[in-house]
Amino acid sequence: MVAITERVAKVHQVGSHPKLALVTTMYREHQLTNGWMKDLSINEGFIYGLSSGVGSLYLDRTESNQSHLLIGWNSLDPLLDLSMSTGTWVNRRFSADSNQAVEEMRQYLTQWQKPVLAPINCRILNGLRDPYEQYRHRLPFPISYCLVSEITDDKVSIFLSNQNDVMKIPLTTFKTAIEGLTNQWVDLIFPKKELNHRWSMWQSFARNVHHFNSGWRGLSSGLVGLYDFLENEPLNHRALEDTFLYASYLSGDLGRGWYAEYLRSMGEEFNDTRFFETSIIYEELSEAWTMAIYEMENANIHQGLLKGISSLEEKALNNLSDLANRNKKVRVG
Amino acid sequence: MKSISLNYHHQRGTHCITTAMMNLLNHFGIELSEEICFGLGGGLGFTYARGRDMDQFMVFGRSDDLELNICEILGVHAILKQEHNSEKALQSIISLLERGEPVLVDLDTSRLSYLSRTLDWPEYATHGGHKAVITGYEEVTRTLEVYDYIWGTPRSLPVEDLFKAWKTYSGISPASNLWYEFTVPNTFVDLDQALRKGIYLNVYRMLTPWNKFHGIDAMRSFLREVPNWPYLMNEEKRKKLAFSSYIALEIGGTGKSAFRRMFSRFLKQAGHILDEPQLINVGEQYREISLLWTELAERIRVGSIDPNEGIFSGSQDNEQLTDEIYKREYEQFQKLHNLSSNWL
Repeated sequence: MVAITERVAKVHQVGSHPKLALVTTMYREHQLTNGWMKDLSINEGFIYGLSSGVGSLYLDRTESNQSHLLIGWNSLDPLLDLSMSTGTWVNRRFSADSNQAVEEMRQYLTQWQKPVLAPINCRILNGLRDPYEQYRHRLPFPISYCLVSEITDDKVSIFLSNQNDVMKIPLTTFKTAIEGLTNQWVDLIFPKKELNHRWSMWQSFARNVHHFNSGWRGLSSGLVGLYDFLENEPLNHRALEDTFLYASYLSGDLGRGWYAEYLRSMGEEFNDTRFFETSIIYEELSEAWTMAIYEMENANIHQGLLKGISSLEEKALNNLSDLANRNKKVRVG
Repeated sequence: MKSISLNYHHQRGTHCITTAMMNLLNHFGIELSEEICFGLGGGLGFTYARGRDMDQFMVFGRSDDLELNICEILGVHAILKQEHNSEKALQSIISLLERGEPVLVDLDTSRLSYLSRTLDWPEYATHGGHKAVITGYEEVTRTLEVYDYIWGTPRSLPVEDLFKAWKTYSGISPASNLWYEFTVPNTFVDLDQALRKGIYLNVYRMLTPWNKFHGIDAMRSFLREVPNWPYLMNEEKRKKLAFSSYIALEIGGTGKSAFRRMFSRFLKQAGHILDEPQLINVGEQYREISLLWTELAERIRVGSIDPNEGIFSGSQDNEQLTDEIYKREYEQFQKLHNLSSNWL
């Protein structure tokens, strides 16, 4: 199991999103070990593009006495989205308690020599640098995540999204930190041969455009979700705090900069300048969102800026839809 | 006292997952045939494996995560939920029913009171993975209204009987109190696009499986080994494995022929929708292949009664049959590969 920790340490980098950053590390570890996607530069932004891509979900959390939350993507489960785009299998585990989970993780690590992804209560881990911890506990998701690479009789080696180095924590602390979340850890099984890159990128792109255009029933999502957020006057303080948090998870600009880069990769792959043109709009959006969030953090809600964002988002989505429709028969082989 | 019975239209089918998904999708507003659901989920596959804690080999002819794949391809989000405490899990189901949502649950076939007698699964072949849809609850009698693929009308299932088949942690793919929750898009993915993606992914997963226990590699191993089981295991084990394999290939909700008949019908329907004559042609080839699988299943059944007859007789005919199945199926998948490589 020591070997797993060494391999993960070689490829792990601090990231933005508590889950996506670690999933990125899993892909990079597989790339390092198995030569998978060897021609691609796998980073968090690329994994964001492959898994869900840019979007807007505006979650109504009033039932749990919490304010609405804007998150900047279209994914309800990025691991599931990734599995479809890249051919991986998400092996979901349902351990009854922390003892069983630890035993099953240990067996998996020994047999398959790959890290596992586990939800974790980071409040238990003293000293974790996490400026958003006070907000994180109000989120309707598992609290945070870690990559487990080694389990001995008294220590567990884990990697977190906001630290480069491996952490070795006492086994008892780890068990407490995963208690109540033990039926949600996963391992990823990669296929023997990777999917055609063009297909992977196109599948992700087409799915994202569909999600953004369609939205979800019962959820304020797609462009409507974005308008609901922008037109929610007055935006209450807690809604903004959580939106800052999510903006920080997605590279500080709700993932718009990442998506600009992803679209440039698509432009190169498909040799189509329209991807580059749309990429430029997302670069503008990245700057606009960064500025808007800065203003919001200083208690200013700049209506002119928000209107500009709304107009740019609409323009970008129109371009994406146009690209998706015009390229329905792109040759991927 | 709670009394819930959803307005849910159920149509019978041949396989538990595809039937449940066909009816659930219809409930969500998209009408598709069972075969189309099978193909959208990249349903054709093969598994031939034995885990460390399993006495028996596992043999079956479809892919994994069919329900999740069907949803993903159509733009529906399906999330797998789980709660160890059965009463708490039941409360979650009831809450969903109160919101008007039918609930897809995972069950152990061999422990499901109304199904175990019907299918007569042997105890050693106990497994989860069976899917049924709960559409109602009667608090006074503590019974649930459950639609299952074989019957046209709902089963009335006492909660305690549900728990026996739901809270299982043994056997293959244990049911573990699992259920699914769905988030439905305002508009579904265009069917043409979804069909092409489903076929592309099915080809990829069949030809490039996760490991040698799945896909074309597993099918080759099974077809090479099955006539030679007499060299690999004693008579008693052979009889048991032959019987469970026969059920898994031909009887247990496969639509016969290890799902190949259903796949044949899917390809023909998809060929007409997409106006792709080659798909119709491969679909016809698969109809012929399905007859070979049925012939093989029958020889395996004979072997399960007399472990030196049927597929275990030592006759060269058996290996000729298994060779022919592999050769023809591989050829058809290559054709699908060539065709789908030009799509998106």
